Amino acid sequence: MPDYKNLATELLAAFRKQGADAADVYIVSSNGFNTTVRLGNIERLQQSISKGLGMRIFKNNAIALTYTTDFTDKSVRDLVNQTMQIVKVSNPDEYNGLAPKELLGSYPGKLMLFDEKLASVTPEKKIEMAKEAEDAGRAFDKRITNSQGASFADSTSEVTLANSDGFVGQYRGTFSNLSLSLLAEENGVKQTDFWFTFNRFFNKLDSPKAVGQKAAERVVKKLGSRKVKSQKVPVVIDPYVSRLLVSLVFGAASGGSIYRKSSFLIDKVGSEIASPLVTIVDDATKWDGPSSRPFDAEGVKSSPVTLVEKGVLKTYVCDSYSARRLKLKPTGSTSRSYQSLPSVNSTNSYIQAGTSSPQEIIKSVKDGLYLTGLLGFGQGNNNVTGDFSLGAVGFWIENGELTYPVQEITLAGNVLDVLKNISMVGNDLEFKFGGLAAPTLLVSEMTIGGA
Amino acid sequence: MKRRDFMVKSSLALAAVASSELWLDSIVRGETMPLNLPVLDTYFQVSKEDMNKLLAATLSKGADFADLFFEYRITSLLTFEEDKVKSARRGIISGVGIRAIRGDQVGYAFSEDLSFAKMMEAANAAAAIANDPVARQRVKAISEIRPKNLYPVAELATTSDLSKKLAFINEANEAAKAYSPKIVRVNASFSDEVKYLAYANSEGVSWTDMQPVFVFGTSCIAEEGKRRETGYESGGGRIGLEYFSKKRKAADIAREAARLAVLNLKAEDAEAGLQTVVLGAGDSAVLLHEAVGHGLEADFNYKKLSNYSGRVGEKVASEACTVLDEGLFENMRGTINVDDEGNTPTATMLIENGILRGYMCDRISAQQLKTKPTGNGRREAYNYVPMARMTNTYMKPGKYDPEEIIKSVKKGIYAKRFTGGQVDITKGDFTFSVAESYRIEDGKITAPLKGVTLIGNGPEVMTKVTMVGSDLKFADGGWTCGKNGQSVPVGMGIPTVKVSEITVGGTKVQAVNETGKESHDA
Repeated sequence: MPDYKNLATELLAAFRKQGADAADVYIVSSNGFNTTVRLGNIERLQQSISKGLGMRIFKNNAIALTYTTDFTDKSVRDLVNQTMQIVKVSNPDEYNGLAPKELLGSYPGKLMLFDEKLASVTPEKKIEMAKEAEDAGRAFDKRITNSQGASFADSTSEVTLANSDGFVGQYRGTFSNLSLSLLAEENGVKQTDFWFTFNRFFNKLDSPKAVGQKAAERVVKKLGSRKVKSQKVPVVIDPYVSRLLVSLVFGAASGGSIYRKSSFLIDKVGSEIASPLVTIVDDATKWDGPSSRPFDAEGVKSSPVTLVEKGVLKTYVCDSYSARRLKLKPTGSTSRSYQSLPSVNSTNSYIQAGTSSPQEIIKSVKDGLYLTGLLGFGQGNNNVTGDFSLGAVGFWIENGELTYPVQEITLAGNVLDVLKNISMVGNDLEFKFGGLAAPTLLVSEMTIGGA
Repeated sequence: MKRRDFMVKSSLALAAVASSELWLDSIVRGETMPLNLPVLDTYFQVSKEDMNKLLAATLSKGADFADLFFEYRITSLLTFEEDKVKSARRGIISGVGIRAIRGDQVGYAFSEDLSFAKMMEAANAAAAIANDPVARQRVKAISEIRPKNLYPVAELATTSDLSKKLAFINEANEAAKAYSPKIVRVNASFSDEVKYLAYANSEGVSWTDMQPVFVFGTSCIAEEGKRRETGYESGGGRIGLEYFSKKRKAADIAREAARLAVLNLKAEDAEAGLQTVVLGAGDSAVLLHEAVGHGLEADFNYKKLSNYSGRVGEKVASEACTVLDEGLFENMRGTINVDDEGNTPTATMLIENGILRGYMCDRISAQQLKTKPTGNGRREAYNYVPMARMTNTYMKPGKYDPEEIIKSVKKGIYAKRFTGGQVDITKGDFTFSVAESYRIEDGKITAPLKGVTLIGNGPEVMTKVTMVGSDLKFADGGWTCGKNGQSVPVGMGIPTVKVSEITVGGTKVQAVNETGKESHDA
């Protein structure tokens, strides 16, 4: 890849010359590979090389952003001129600006972001892994009748950020991902489920066989699902779903949601918003975290943030704009694409592990739901009030044991009630699904809508 | 990855701002040209000879078919908060996607660099899906098809004077604030784009198109005591600024957002469980999109992944249901002059009086099912492969007066506005999220209810559609459909419809099952 630090600093100089008060340039370039194998045949083979550049400028406290995928000299120069023009239509806002100078910088510790060995893995090997995963899944049980395919995807990307206060930063990262989705059929009813393994390092992926078998096990377990009656019961939340609770809290605690009055956490700093068993941390400096990075999209040096400590909301998470408005400090929590302005987003965000094993948690429930999936997440939850109503799938718990699968039911309530009703926290915290993670949780009561 | 086919009413489609007076000549020149503009020369500087060479390279390892998809997209976004333009954005994205097909196998590569050498690299990468020593197909002479323009635009949003867009935003802002003193915040956004596309394939088909689309949205927060609620409304389509004089005023969109926010302040908890639901005309078409639409996309069906696979000719819905997908409605959000593989859209009969008639096909799935493409091969952009996708999906009107439908319900829910939905196409279970609903008691609409999710099984719910109204209405706004990580704009419509029972995701548990239709075992 070419060195984009030079391009970024040249553009900043051009903006200075044209009279911008401040500016930053964000460049991302990546290349990727993606293949899908279905029923043993290659269905798709895709290669990509991609890049984009975003320029944000401030003039008289107003903001403009322009972006392009065309890095030729003329095209980029034209865009610099246009940026200076469109900023005239934007209104001044005293809180606009770059992040405070003293917070800029790169986290100096070791972060495991880039897999040097990925480049030497051949396409043949990746295709073979997808085949192996699908074969293992299809051989697992005779009720597995079809496959939506197994995919192997990887990407290598580089982020460059420079601003007019002298910050220049760059980092590279890799990802590998192997996933599989299978169908099972019994008594005329079809079910589908999937599994995947995901890591920054190719060698740390679970084996294709393990992925195949896990996908198969999951789909077969769904056969014979039933609906249950509407009722209020304890709910054990599987880590695949419990991590979504972290994203709801993070979103509601973001400075933008607070000043926009679009949050169920307004005026809640210092008060108890969750059970004392709950501590929520966002840590972009976790050494092997899937979402780790040395600095955020405004160039703020990464550092861990404790959002909730033993049930008490400790802080909001802010970009520099909302921090100035709310008289807080930016928390290094922004991310962006080249097409967007920086906004607050979680990195490695998690509920700290507790002491109970998942088995103990399930055993403690006489009659209740083990929740493994949600439908309509993002649409059926209201971030202003915290109310949610979502489709749910899982297993019924009877006398401390998982029994039959349950589908076509809903779960409804309020996020704050769910957080307060967390009565057990599992010891099974793992970053298997990306930056968001949480252990198994027990919520003492939620409302199920069913038959 | 888990299949997540869904639809959302986006508060902000991506993008940024423009004003004709501001643009430099080099860019303005192309943008203001009419549809018959020389897209290829203006935006891509690729000759027919080069295209032939690229197609030949893509076929060189034995593929049956090759195509090139060039895209130059200008996006624009204006965001407005607290009586101020918060940010102005504009972007230019361009690239080419090159595809080789052999049977149902696809090789794909894309490049943002449109130099001949880089495009040739991409062509060779795509070609590698096949691995014969020599080509089996030759490139046919390219001839251009000129589809009818279904999105005539009087004043293209992306190149219009910025002050005009600002005027609509200001109008909306004032109207929302004036709606009620309870409105404490108003946000507005104007998001628009125009795509210049050029396409050629190895069978000699080529076309160019200009696809405009915009979404104008307003969101409001209402406050009363300690309670705070939100409302959102949007409008737009493949149309220009004349939308605001011909179709809907900016102030009306804003007042609708304000109305929803204020209404929600009084919303009560809904009861959980099976209930009779009357779906209002328009937005409720999310039901069609999720319960039948995705399941009838042909790629899921030739692979036998859908619960509708192999069921053409069977009864899959009540006789009251006739459902079509039709990309031909002028200026509608899901309309396309030509699909992204060179096929013209059609009125595709999906379900006729309850009987499954056919699927929505892209090229590969039509070939696999030995049928014709229906003009449903769509892609988000040059960096994605086309797939079978919906355009504008709707249900034909029935015989009932909407009032009569509501009167027929003793106890139930009237669901009017929706935020989106999601479906598992294999089992057919789907959800859709209600933004505005009311109790129906003794045939009358009473208290507003808090947002709830409805969950059901597609084929099962469609057999429970017992009454269909005469009031077919198409939904306005920025409806966006997601499938396998690709988003495309869609349209949809439905008349008022009664579903005899569906599970409602409320927080209150009913003492008895009061729909009284049948008993259900757990």
